[in-house]
Amino acid sequence: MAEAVIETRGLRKVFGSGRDERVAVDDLDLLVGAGGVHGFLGPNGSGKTTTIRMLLGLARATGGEMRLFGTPVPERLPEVVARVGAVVESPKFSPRFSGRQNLTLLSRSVGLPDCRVDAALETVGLADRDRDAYQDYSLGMQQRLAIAATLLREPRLLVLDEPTNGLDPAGIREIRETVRDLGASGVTVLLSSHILAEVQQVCDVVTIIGRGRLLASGRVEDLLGGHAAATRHRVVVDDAVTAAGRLRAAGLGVEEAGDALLVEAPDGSEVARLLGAHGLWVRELTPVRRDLESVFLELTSASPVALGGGR
Amino acid sequence: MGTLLRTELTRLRWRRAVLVLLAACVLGPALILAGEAWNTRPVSDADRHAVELELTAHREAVERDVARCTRRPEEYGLGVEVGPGATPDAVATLCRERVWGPPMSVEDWIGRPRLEPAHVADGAGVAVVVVLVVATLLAGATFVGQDWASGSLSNQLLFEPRRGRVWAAKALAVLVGCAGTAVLVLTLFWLAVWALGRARGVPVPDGAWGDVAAMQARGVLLVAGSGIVGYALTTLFRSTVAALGLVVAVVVLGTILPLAVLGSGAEPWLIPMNAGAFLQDGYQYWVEGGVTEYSCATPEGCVGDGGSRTLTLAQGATYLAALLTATLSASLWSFHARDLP
Repeated sequence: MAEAVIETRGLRKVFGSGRDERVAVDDLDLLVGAGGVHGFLGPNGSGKTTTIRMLLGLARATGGEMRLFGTPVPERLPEVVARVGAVVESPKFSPRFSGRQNLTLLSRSVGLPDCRVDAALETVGLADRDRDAYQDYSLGMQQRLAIAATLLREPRLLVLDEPTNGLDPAGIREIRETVRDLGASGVTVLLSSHILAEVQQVCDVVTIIGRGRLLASGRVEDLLGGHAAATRHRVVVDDAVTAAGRLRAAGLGVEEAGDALLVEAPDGSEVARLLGAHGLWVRELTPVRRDLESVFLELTSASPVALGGGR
Repeated sequence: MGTLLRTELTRLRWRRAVLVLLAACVLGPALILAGEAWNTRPVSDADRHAVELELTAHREAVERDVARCTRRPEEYGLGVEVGPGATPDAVATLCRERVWGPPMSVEDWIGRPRLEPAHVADGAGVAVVVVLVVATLLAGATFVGQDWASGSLSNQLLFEPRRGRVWAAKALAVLVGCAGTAVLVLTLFWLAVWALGRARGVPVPDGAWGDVAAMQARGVLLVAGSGIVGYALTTLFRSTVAALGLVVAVVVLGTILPLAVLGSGAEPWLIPMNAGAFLQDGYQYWVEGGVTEYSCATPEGCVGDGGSRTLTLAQGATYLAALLTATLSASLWSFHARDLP
């Protein structure tokens, strides 16, 4: 495992007290290695944003330990914060200030020269709208300004919480490419997103949490492989009813899906051979690949499965 | 810290609402000054002419009154002064003095005050400080209120996570902005009063300008404190509306209710009275049914105060300092300890 950029042990966050007590993060161990794009997934209210907020010093942990670049936080967060860029939940800027003014204030607050603002605005394609009031920006432009803010300090760790919210397809692809490029350039990106297909395309490693607890963590292909022992095949035959009976009799799991059958079998050729032996000729046999979404839904089946932001 | 402070001063300068309030800090005192200049304008020939016309119009009625007094001086309280041997002319002279009063100049007749520093300080000077106090309270509140409302404070803390430093930099920016505005506006106001008084040839007693300078220095402290309180309360409640609502409730209801329930005995514990005592070097109030206290260390012997009490400058300063310390402490603790939205 590469050097840990983010590490939490037994992280816990409790909101309220007494009867109103609600555990948002419960004994969470999170490990994010250096470099690459790390997906951070979980259903609504699973504790993703709360975890991010605790890591960045915006919320106090009730218990546990956190480290960024091996440095304990929040105690020594000021030592490492210059290496971290983050967009938490939605972009948050002063609405009446222009995009440039908002970035200038952030940049000057840590003694960066104003030319960094120019570079960041150029990178996200807002250079020609930099003097417009932030409140006049579209959602996509607001999101891009937030990303520009994270780039002001050339971070080594980028935390992006739902960065494609409100973006049009072109914007989403742009952000996806930016994230992928950053990950490839050695920047560690922690990407929290509810668009699982997006995460699957961009992330090398994912962590899935539910109800504040770690459910799974590892490389995307390992996770998909681990949850794909019973490979599913889509089978189309002329006599679907008879075929289903024969396959069930052979001990295979079968589901009807319209004109087709979904058959749980490790090997597609075995399905074809079984049916052929009974004079049932397969017109179509397609392996149904598991995706991150199905793994996610399996893992979080005990939790609310509505995907999206929230704590 | 210097970098953060400069950034916060820039943010303060860029806030449109703050600029509007700072404009009010100039416009309000300018209007007060214009009003004061008008109310204390020298008596003109037109004024004299108007007074003479007025006197002529009343002369007939007044002479009738004098004649009645001459016939029945006792009805005008002149029974003792006249005596049995007084000549009619002497009685008429006494009556004329009684009905007309002592000889008066046209200025006295009009009763228009002059632009004297002490007079301006007690009226327009206090009004200017009140305008500045209200405007800077709003400016301090709205300055950080927008940070809370937009959530941009979280963004700022992602760059500088030392919350104490961020809080202090913003507080210092408010302090510098409000105190600077107060110094500038009050200096311009009093320079204008001085120039106008000089142009009108108004005599100024020795030490008058010293008293004004001391009062305005305290006014600057009051204005700066007001801005800081607006900032601190908004940071504590994380909402401009909540902070200003509390201020209105405390100042208005917190003044009216105690006075209604406890009477004037509550005055030493009220914010406006203590602010007045601090600004004007003491605030005098009367305790209903209060025991008259006597002081015998006076040239006139023992003198009673008739139940009046004085809230001293020191008492007012102590009260305001305690209030400010409590507000700032609560605000800083809250900002440091609570999760950011």
